[in-house]
Amino acid sequence: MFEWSSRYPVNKIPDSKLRNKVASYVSSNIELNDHPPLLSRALSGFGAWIASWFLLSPLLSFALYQQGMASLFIGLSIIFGSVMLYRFGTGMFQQQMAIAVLLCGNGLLLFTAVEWWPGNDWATLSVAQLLITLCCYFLLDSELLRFVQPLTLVVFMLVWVSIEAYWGWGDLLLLIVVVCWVLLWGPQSRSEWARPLGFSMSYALIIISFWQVLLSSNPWESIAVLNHRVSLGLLLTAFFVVLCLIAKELNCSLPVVISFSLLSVSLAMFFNHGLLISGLLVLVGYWRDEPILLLLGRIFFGLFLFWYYYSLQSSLIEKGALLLMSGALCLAVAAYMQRSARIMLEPGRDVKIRNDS
Amino acid sequence: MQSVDPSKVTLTQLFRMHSTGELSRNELELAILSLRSSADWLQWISRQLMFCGVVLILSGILYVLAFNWEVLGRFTKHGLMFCLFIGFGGYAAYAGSHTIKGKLGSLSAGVCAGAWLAVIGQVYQTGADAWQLFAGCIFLVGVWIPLFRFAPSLMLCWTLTNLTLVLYWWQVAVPGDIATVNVLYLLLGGINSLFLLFTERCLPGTPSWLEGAWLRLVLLLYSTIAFTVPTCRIFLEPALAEWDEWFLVVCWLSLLVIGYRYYAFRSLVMVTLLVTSLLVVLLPSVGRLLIINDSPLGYWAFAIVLLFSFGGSAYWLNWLHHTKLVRESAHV
Repeated sequence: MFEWSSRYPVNKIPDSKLRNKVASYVSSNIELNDHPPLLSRALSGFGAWIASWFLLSPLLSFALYQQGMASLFIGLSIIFGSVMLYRFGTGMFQQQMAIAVLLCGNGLLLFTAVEWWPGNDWATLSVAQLLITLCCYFLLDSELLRFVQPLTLVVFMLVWVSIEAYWGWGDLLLLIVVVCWVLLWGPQSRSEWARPLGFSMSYALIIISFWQVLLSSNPWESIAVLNHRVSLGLLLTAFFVVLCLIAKELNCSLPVVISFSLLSVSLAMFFNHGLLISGLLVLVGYWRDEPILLLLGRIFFGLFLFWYYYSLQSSLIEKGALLLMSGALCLAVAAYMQRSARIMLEPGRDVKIRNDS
Repeated sequence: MQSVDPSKVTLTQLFRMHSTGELSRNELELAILSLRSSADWLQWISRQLMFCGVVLILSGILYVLAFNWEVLGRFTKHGLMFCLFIGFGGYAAYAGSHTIKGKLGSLSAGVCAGAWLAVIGQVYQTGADAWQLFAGCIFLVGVWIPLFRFAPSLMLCWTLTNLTLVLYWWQVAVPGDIATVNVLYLLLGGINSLFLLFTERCLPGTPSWLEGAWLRLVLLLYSTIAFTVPTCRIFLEPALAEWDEWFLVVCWLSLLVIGYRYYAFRSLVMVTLLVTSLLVVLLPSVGRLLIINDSPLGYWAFAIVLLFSFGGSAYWLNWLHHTKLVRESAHV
């Protein structure tokens, strides 16, 4: 009843051997032995995450993190115990319990690290989280951990970079995240271990953009995490790489040319990170058939667009004119694309192309 | 949620076939290209742009009007709204009720008509409350629905109905001691549940434009929120609850039971929504009982309760999903 992904008729595949192979896979009920559905995984993960806070809070109230070596030992023991529980526990509940305990140990270790190395708390947190994330990523195959821990790491690094305000550090962080993101979503062979990290990096991109908007538009102090031109160039390059990959898959350069020219025009008009990032998510969501990414991109595109017009330093009439012009441009390009698609779908065109070739 | 239909395939299934080695890279590329061609891509991008363009133009019109509002004369204001209404309505009629352009045009015309009502209220200082304006809007958006059969228009109309009721209670009923807030919760939950029941059971062969699952999801969401909020409050402070308030708890429980019975093997999203409502009501009350005087044992006990309740719900949902797939495959 509630379809997450688009479903295509198998008989559209022209090659009979391939069509039979796909049809037999679809009808072989492999889905039955598949992973649990996303909703139940999300519910279970959310439960583990919430429970970890209730497990951690008594440890913090005992001021355990101030006990030096003892707290480090206890934190590492908790993580070791939870890894054992996860690896040897077969049931879903044991694994959920293990993740909650592991997140609790993770929190305790972070507090301990900050207590041991006073000074730059966010730098300490980032380094400690990096080490914990690396260990856990390869030890456990939990989707939740592979999503939450890298995202937490990016958030810590983002706050650290914002506080230090060294020139170029924010752009470097964005570069790392963008490269990871393109590498994770670009190839068609999606290994299961990389997928949660791909989602994590998608959320990280949105968080970086939101953080930039919040910091650069606050009234008391204007800090910019990102250099405007450098980061826009970086995102534009990522957009171009994704478009080229799509064009390669389609054996056609027309959509790339149209989309890229459209993008250039919109960039010239909007000059906005958030729109580019959410546009990228929408594009990749459709390309890679990831409805969550598509939904995320659409929601944030709306939000960034609203914020962009709301915060424009111009009169209402100028804003209105800009909105009308952008809307008219969108409709014109949409009409052109509809027309091109209709021409492409004309009956007999495929035959003509095949005969020509 | 995936269902077993051997004649249709998702791209995710193709990617999975490739990752398990059942499809080579070339075969995967060929399959994807034949299922989703350049023309499909162009159509998809054009739909996104069309939606974006309509939203931008409507917002632009609002900005332009807001800028010039004070200097515009009474007739100009009405003239502008009339032109917009006629423009969008005419475009919708020209494009036809079967095209997405026509449907979007009808939605825009309905919104413009609603805005015109607000203009009338502002120009003539009718002294109408906000709920009266929204009630008028419901009518003006609603008349387009049977003509253009567009589900987002129906949902907009229904959301406005909910909003009108809330505003009426806020502005008239509660200050005038006509009715209490609990009656509002009951009414909101009741009408949304009944509408959901109507769309599920009473329509003779659901029309294609009402087939979208999101419509039912929104209706169930509205009903669940309307019953969950008061129930949560009653569960947290049971001693303060009046006897008539327990009726809301009965309604909430009925919604959960009937909803589960109906959707258990139909839609996992709906069941998840019902399960979430159950957790939202029960967990804060349990937490309040367990965590007394900040006792560490209470925190840990509550953590175990959380793990059991969320884990149990997830296990239950998995079982439903699996059973549904087994039944569907047996049916196929």
